[in-house]
Amino acid sequence: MKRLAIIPIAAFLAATALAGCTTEQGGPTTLTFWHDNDEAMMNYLASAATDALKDEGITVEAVKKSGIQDQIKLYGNDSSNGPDFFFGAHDAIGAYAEMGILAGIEGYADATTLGSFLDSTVDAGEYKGTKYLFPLYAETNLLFYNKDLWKGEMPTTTDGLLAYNEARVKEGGYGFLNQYNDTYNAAPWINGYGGFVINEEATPGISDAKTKEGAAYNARFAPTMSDGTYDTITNLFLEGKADGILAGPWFVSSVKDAGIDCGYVSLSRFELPNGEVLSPYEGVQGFAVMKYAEGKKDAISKALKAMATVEVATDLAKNYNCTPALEAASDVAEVTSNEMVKETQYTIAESAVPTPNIPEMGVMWTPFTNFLTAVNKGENIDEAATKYQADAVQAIENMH
Amino acid sequence: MKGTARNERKRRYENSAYFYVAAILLLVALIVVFPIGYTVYISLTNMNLYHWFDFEFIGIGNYIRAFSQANSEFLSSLGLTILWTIANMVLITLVSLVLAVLLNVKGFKGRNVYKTLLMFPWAVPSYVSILLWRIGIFNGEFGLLGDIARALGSDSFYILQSYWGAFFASLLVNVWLSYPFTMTMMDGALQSIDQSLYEAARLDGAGFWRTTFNVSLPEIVPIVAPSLLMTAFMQFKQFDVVYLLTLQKGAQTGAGLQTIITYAHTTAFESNNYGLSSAISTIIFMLIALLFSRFAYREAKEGRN
Repeated sequence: MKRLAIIPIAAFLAATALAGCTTEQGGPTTLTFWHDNDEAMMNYLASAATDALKDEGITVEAVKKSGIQDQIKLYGNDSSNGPDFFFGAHDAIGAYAEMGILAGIEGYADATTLGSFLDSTVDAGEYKGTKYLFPLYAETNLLFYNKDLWKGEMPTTTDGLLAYNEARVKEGGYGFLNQYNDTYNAAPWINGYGGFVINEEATPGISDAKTKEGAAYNARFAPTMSDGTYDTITNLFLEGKADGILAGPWFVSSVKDAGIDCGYVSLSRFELPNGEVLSPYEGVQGFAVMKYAEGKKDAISKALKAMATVEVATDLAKNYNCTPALEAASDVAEVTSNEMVKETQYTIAESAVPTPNIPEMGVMWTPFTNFLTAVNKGENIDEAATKYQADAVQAIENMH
Repeated sequence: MKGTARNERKRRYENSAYFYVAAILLLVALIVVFPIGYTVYISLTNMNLYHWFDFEFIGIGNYIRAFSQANSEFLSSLGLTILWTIANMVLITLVSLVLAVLLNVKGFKGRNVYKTLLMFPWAVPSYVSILLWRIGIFNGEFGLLGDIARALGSDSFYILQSYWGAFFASLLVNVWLSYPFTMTMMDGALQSIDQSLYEAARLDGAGFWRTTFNVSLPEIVPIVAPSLLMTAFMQFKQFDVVYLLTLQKGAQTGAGLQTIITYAHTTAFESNNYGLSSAISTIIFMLIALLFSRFAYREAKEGRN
């Protein structure tokens, strides 16, 4: 009798073991993607795909995971517990690709589909000749300004911005604030001067002469921008004490909650003393597919396509200020009428540069931030550049 | 024959003890020994971003690397950690001792109220406390330090942006977070001192200072020494204060402060070099284990004597 009992147990184990191998043969399929983004927006994407594919029995679920980059690294090879695909920024693609956990996106989206996106958004997700990202929207830093506080016309040069800030500080107020020690937020000045954080050959650019020039000019803004920390500047702006702030679409909901009548200006509209314009980083947000999800290829391809329609892109722009990667959605009236989207599109067209997606970029944030802090505190720029360039080189060596 | 049977029963009885503790030993092995063993194993491999799943055994390469780079951040962070531990222990011991002695002043009526208030830093989750210090005290715009600077006619400043400023700020927060434990231990030890010793001292004409140094301190040292040792190890591997004040993602202050444990964290989660990071973690573990075993040996020896 005891021996007989093993039969149903073995049958149960066999059935459950094979359960993961079903679905592509016509049965209902549930796809899961992870994200660390606005939950309402991600749930909207999931339901848009599910609605579009309900006749095919494909359900898409969005699961929020805090610290998604670490989670993806952890579950990158774990098909039982990991997602089928995930939503994230393009700059982490290189690291995942080196780990060998991503599938090339060309296996999931044909040339026509990928060709329907703005080239810059597809290129941003390319690493060592393979495209990994299915782009949905692009984002850049913009100048947010409080329409009730901003005095006079918006300057057209960075010197004008600096003069505005100095005047406002003299009056006891605050002009336009920025995290001037932060790599991402100081990048418009560095890139605008022709400098760089790291180049394609993974050489840090801290000691580059043009980087130093940009950092030195960025430092002139520091005395007019309080302590330049995220906590301080966001609070000053949200409390209606600062006239402007450098921020991106992720900050819009806080601004709305604070009841601020906010305007947006592209950083490409400010000319630097060298004749160029501010050049912020461009981030592209989209989907990347796990290599182990090969068994659900057809369903994933359909789900991705269902989320890359003009309707979805328009809704994302309208409700979440997302600048569409889909070229056909770029000119839709509801999209272009969104001031933030319009200014982001302008920045991307004029001067934004994609955030480097090579893995070495991941170790650049700390030495570059330390370099900026030193310069902003008035330390010798050449000495600081030499010191932190060496730190960056060491950090890159430590990766191997 | 009888004796042999008794011995056999005794041996069986003793062996059965191993059976009863086997489950808990297995649990300890799983949650303590296995992670340590696995970390040591990873430290002997080249597990990094480029060999995430196909890592190989490379011997002690990561250890040589950690020590061989004379100017490396590893050695400077090790030096800073030693300074950090010493500074913390001196301050924590002094603050705790002073507070514990004051709480035990004879006839002090507010003892329980003050003791409860002094325990407050222990009651608040450290994550919350540290962020409150960062924003409420150290922030150049909204913090108390900035207000004081402005009241004195100086420009507001952000202490967490300079190396030594961040060090002293972290030290202050860490002492604030750590003193309740040692203070409680010292208070308990002071309470346990036989009152007749104080009476005898008083009869001999000893005042407050004399009784403190000649009665209280010698009596509490053997009791609080193990807790001070534990506190020292906790300071050596302290992570959250330095990380949350200066290195938190999105809120890095650029101070460049790295203790050995934040350096291990950076190597693992920024450089993605788990092999090197595990080697650093193992070195930290070995240092602590070595110091602790020396102390435990001395304690045992003193106990026997």
